[in-house]
Amino acid sequence: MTLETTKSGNVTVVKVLVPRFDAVAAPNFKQEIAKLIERGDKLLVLNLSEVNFLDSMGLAALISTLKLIGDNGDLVLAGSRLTVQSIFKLARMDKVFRIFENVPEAVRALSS
Amino acid sequence: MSPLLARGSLIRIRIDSRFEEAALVGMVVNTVCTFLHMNEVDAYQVELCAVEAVNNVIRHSYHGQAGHPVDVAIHSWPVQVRIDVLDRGSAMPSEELKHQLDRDYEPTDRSSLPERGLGIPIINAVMDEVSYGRSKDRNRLSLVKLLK
Repeated sequence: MTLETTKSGNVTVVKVLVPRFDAVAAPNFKQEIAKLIERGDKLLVLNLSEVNFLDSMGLAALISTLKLIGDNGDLVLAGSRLTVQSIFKLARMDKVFRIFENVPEAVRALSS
Repeated sequence: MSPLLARGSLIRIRIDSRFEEAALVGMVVNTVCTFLHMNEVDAYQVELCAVEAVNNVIRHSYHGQAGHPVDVAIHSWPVQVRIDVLDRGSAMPSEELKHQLDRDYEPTDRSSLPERGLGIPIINAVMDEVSYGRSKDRNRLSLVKLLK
């Protein structure tokens, strides 16, 4: 999986560049995001605008990332399509992840 | 209504037991659902369930090993779409299918969040009927979605 990262103040915006965030993509995502967290990037906005499919393995990778960040950081989501958003409700994860309509809104929330 | 929808249709797909090939099943299922005038979110969710079912077979029936056949039959009628996923691997424990997201977890307590076992609860939440059976050496997971 290719992740594109940009910094906005103390927030790191990570754009997921694969259309299907699934059992195939999840292991690579976990590896790449772990490197970011290990280097100290713990305020993350995950830009899902390029993702048109997310399954339970992709969702599990997001949960794993949230756990890796721990209590001294945060992971929020931005730009996801309505279809992709629906899995969070189905899996009862809509109260776990904060989902913003776009990246600037998500960055503002993490910066405040 | 088109003659095809009136009499129903059947599409069969055989894939290898690799996660990469589950996407093909998902895309075909989504196309069928869209053809049946399902809205975008519903079609996506049925696609998601088909992928979860195939992934479940690869992970549990074939223990993640490639080289085994996974057969998928997509039946569509005016009132419902049914997806049968068949394999010749290990039988799934019966309690697995009934698994719901019934574990209590506190959304603010990250350490309590489940990272496994999300697929079957999603299938149970989306589909109107879910059944599983084993005949001879063949497992069959059937998912039914009623059309509105």
